[in-house]
Order: sequence, then structure tokens, then C-alpha cells
Amino acid sequence: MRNISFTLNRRQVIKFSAGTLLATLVSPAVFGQPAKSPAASSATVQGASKVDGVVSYNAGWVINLEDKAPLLEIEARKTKEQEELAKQKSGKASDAPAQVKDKPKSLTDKMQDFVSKIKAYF
Amino acid sequence: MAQTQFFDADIIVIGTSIAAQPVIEQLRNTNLRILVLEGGDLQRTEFADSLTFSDERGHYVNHHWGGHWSRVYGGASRIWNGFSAPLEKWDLIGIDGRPKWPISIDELEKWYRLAAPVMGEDPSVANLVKYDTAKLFVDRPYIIMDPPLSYSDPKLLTKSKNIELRVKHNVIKFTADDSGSFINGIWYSVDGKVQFAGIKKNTRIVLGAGGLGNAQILLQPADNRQIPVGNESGLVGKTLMAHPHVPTGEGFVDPRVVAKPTWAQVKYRKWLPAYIVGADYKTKLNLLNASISLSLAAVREISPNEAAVKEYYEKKWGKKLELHTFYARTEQLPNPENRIEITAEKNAAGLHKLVTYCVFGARDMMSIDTTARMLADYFLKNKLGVTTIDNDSIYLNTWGWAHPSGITRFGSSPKDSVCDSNARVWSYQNLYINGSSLFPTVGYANPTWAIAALGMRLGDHLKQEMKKAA
Repeated sequence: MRNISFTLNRRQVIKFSAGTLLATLVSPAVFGQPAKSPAASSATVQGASKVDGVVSYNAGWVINLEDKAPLLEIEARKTKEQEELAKQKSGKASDAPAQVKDKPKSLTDKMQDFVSKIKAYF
Repeated sequence: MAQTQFFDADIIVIGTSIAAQPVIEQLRNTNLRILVLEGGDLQRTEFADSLTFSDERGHYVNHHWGGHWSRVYGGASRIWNGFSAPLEKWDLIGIDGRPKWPISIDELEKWYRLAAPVMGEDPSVANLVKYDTAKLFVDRPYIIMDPPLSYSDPKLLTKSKNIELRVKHNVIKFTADDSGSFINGIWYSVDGKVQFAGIKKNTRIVLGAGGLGNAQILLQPADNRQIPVGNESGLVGKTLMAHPHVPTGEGFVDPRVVAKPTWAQVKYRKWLPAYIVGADYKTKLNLLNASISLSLAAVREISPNEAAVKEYYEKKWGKKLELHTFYARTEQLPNPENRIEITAEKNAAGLHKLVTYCVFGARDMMSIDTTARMLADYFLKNKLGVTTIDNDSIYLNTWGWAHPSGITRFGSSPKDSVCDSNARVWSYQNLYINGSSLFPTVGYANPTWAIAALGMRLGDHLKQEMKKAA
């Protein structure tokens, strides 16, 4: 058997390390699951909370697996409708002074608002 | 030598809130002389408000425990919000290593019925055994008292000639006789001035000073002995529990789900719709008892994501859906590490202040998550609604409501409880306790109805005991 020796010079070590680091950073973004859809695995988890046929897709909804594709289509349509509406409104207001828009609230922000209201009620 | 003054009464009741008033109610129309000692005044004062501050450690902070602990005539009843529900059989039977209650659900149901008018409901609604069902989900609404029960008028108490009320009397601690079997004195303060009164052997004392207040008194150091009077068990202050609360998500729900209580026997005047997992499933799945209630969400603009879900499922199911918020209230497992202790510092009334340690465990939070997910699945499969599960809300933002429980629990043995099944402190023939501090387990429900039921039971027991003694 032929002996293979393999050495790296300093420049090759740096290139290799940088490449490894880059691959580690990029691959979850490209291939990983969204943060709020854990239930792609939940459909196959054994034990107490198995929920056959149900998957959680983005924003934490618990929906039927077969509904995911049509839901995403409708959401895309509605997003486009909302953007077009926003464009029309900004077109009409183009002569008006620029205004600062509020950042849309996340679900967690909405929950915190609701908790504050509940606490006030109690 | 100054003569010792005595509190000369047949029964001394400490406190005037929901833990005390049902006891007194049972004793009202007797010829027993009742002395009621209330630490607060007729209205709230800064002095009295300062007495309920504790050093809080863990998940319940920001004067959490003082939220339902008020030193004023009427106590917590002056500030609570009117929600309650009964415990169920599953809460009492000692499932999965939890302590067992020393009374059965059948016996407790009798007292829930008698206490139902206290809660503004007809006795027939306390039909608890109907909940012992094999269904996956059981609708189990909360009653809402509107307005909430509030003991604010002392004249309703003192109109009975056998009842005397003394306000601003903060009980600090008890003293015991040489036999160690009877309470023979009470140290108390009025406006911070410490005084002592003797107690005769045949006087019964009922401690109804609050879920924390009861234990605080029994932990005060004794002058002439190592063990505080009332803590001979060593268990006072241990297994502090409350109710974790959290919004679990939102969802588009068929309005008929929340239109009225679907359990045939329930005719609550006003209610909050809620669901719990059936007992068989809770046992099989090793869940704690959690309730998910539904409220109509505030009107707001919905996102394209939400609009898509609403449009799709309304078309698929052929029905209108409304946006609701889902809110969990859950049991907290008893854990001896969750506890109260006294500090060296005293409050203005002369009692050593408290430090509280109370932390949610993994099972507490996982039970909320699992129950919420199971309900989401149940709604989806039965075309009742489609919901979100908010992970951050459940695991990062769980809070609670101040139902301090478990720290003077009653039980069947002095080895693992502070009080016997009649709520008598094991070591003393004449000292009794009422309140959520008695609960060995807490279920998920706001405890008021259970406290009222146990209070009526204790009052009746004392009435029978005093008759025999006479």
C-alpha cells in the first residue's frame, strides 16, 4: 500500500479554517428549520404529545399537514395585496411630509400587551 | 404584678377574609361567644399595606405574594376578581406521588354545595362527580362573580350579638401550656404596640390570616423553646405552591364553542369558558392539571399570515370563526424547596418578615405546553378552531396569580402534614387553620370556592365539638 503523507502550509490551514467556519454559519440558514416550526418533528415524536397529521408551520399555528401548501399560497397572496395597498397609500401621500412608521408588532409583543391588560384587569 | 388579660371567648377567629367569614357564618346563630381579631383597619392603611411585603425569590416577584394578601377588614376579598372553580376528584386522590387530601371529593362536594351561595351560585352547580369522565377534553368553565364577593361591611358580622370584632389586632405568635397540648396565649400588637392575652383551655382558635399569613405566625420564634409554637411538624412553610398563568396563544374558534357551558348540569350565571384534559388522559400522559380558558381577542388588524388561516379554514369548514385568546392556569407540583422562611427583620406589627422561594418546575411548564397543544389538536380535528402555540410566552413569560398554598397542609398523618383532616394543628387540641395554606395539592382553579367550602366544614365541625363539650 502506498503511504500518503499530507501536510498543510500556514496559508492552507487558514483557508481551511475559514471555509469550515463559513460552512457552519451558512448551512443552518439554508437548510435548517424555522425557529417556530418544531412540530415537523412533533408528528414523529413518540410518547405523550404525539399529534398525528398535525404540524406547526410558521408563527406557531397548529394545522393539518395537507393544509400547509394552500395556506402558504393564500398568505403570499395576502402579503402581496397588503404591499400593493401600502404602495397605493404611499403614492397618494407622496406630497405629504415623511412620517415614521411604527414597527409591526410580533406575536410575542401582542401577547405581552394582552398580559398587561389581563394584569390590569386583575 | 400586672394581671394577665384574657381573650375570653369560646372561639377566637383570626382574620376576616374568605378563610374566616364562612367559619363565622356557621357559628353565627349559636350561643357561642366569637371574638374576631383582624390585623387591618376597616379601610386600607399604609401601615397595614406595609405588613405584606416579603423578600421574593424565584419566578413570583414584584410584590407578587402581596397581590392577594391584604391586611384590612375583609382581607383578600377586597381585592380579588371573582373567578373560581371547584377542585376535581383527580386533584385530591394522590395521583403520581402527589400528597393525598385527607377528605374525599364526595365529602368536599357537600361543602361546595353549601358554599355555592357564598359564591353567588345555586348549590346544584356544585355537581362535581359528573366531571369524572373518560373524555379527552372536558369543558370546565370558571364562575365569575360580578361583582366579586367582598366582605367590606363589618356590620354584617357584628349584627349578631355573639360576635365581637376587634380591628388593628395583628396576631404575632402563640404560646403553649406546659403540656404542649393547648394554646394558652396570644402575642399581638395594636398600632405596633406589642401586648399579650391569655387564652383559656376550652377556647378554640381558628387561624384564617391568609395563605402566607397563617404560616408566618406559626414560624415566629418562641421565647422559651427552640421550636416555634405550631411548627412541631417542621413542615410549616414548606411546599409553597401557587398557580402558574400564561397566555398560550391565539386562535380562530367557532363561536358556538364558547356560547354557553355545554356541561348539562352547569347553569352558572356568568362564566369564563375553559377546557381541561379528562382524568384518564391526564393519568396516562403524566400531565399536571391545567385549564385553558378562551376569551374573545381585542379587535385589531390581523396580519396576512392570520388572515390566510382564517380565510382557509372558514372556507374549508363552512363556518365563521372568531379570534380568541387562549390562557392557561395550571397546577404547580408540591416541592419542599419552594417554601417561606422568616428573616431577622421585623415588620411594623412586630412579626418577623418573610422570604419566599418559589420556582416553576419543568413539569409545571411542560404540562401547560402539552395541554395547549392537545387542545389545539382537539379543536382542529373536531373543526372547532385553529390555534397558535406561543413557545416564548409559555417558557419565558409564565407568571402567576397569588394563591399561596400548601404551607400548613392538612393530611392523614402528623409525619407529613401540619394539620389533621379537621384542619386542627396536630400538636394542639384547640388550634385550627383555614385557607389555601391547608391544600396539599392545588389543582388549577382559583381557590376561593374551596376555601369557602373548607371554612363552612370547619365551622360546622367546631359547632358539633362545642356542643359535645357543653
